[in-house]
Amino acid sequence: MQTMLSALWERSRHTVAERAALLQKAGALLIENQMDEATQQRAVDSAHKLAGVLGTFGLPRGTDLAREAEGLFGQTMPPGKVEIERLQVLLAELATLIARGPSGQP
Amino acid sequence: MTRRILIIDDEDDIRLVAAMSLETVAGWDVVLANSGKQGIERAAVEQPDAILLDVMMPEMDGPTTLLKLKASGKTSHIPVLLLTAKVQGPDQRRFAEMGVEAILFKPFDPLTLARQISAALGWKEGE
Repeated sequence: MQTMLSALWERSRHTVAERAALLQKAGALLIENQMDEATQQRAVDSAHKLAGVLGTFGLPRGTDLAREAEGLFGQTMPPGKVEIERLQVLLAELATLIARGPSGQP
Repeated sequence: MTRRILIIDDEDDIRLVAAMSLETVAGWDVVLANSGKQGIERAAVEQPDAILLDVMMPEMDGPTTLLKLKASGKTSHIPVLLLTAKVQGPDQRRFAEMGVEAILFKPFDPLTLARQISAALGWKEGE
């Protein structure tokens, strides 16, 4: 089972990384106060999908971070300074987790 | 007894992991659909023992798909389990009123998914 899961992770990691990259771009727009509704919704959807899949691949921390990102992107814009700082930190951690994968190796 | 499960989910990775889990752990047959529309068509033809249905999908979402499945004489008898990353209290009640058997949560554990489905439907196998 673990071998098959690892193989499926390798197949899925590109899509997962793309979703994480979309969150990074949305986060950057948020910092510049240039977030539009369509990008905000895409960020919420991407975070939701990441929350659903990362734990299944053995990254429960990734699910927690993605859920938090979903909540932050989903709130009324613009967010406060504290929320933006938190988003930056959690998106950086999320990107690192995804880059390392379930095995902990890049 | 070999069960047949239809998985309706727009996400490739979720469909593949769930299928691998149910085929490998429980030995069930799995039928896949990547949209609500395709899922309704496959349910009518394949007559699965249960349907695992994603909530958040583009075009036709899970609740709309569920309503159409329950409205058709060809599929209304098939138990439906929702698979979702987030459900709030009011949604849970709404889904129950729509005829859903159970709500399973993402992320799921591939080793126990079949057991969760069996428990929700009162099946003995999958353990």
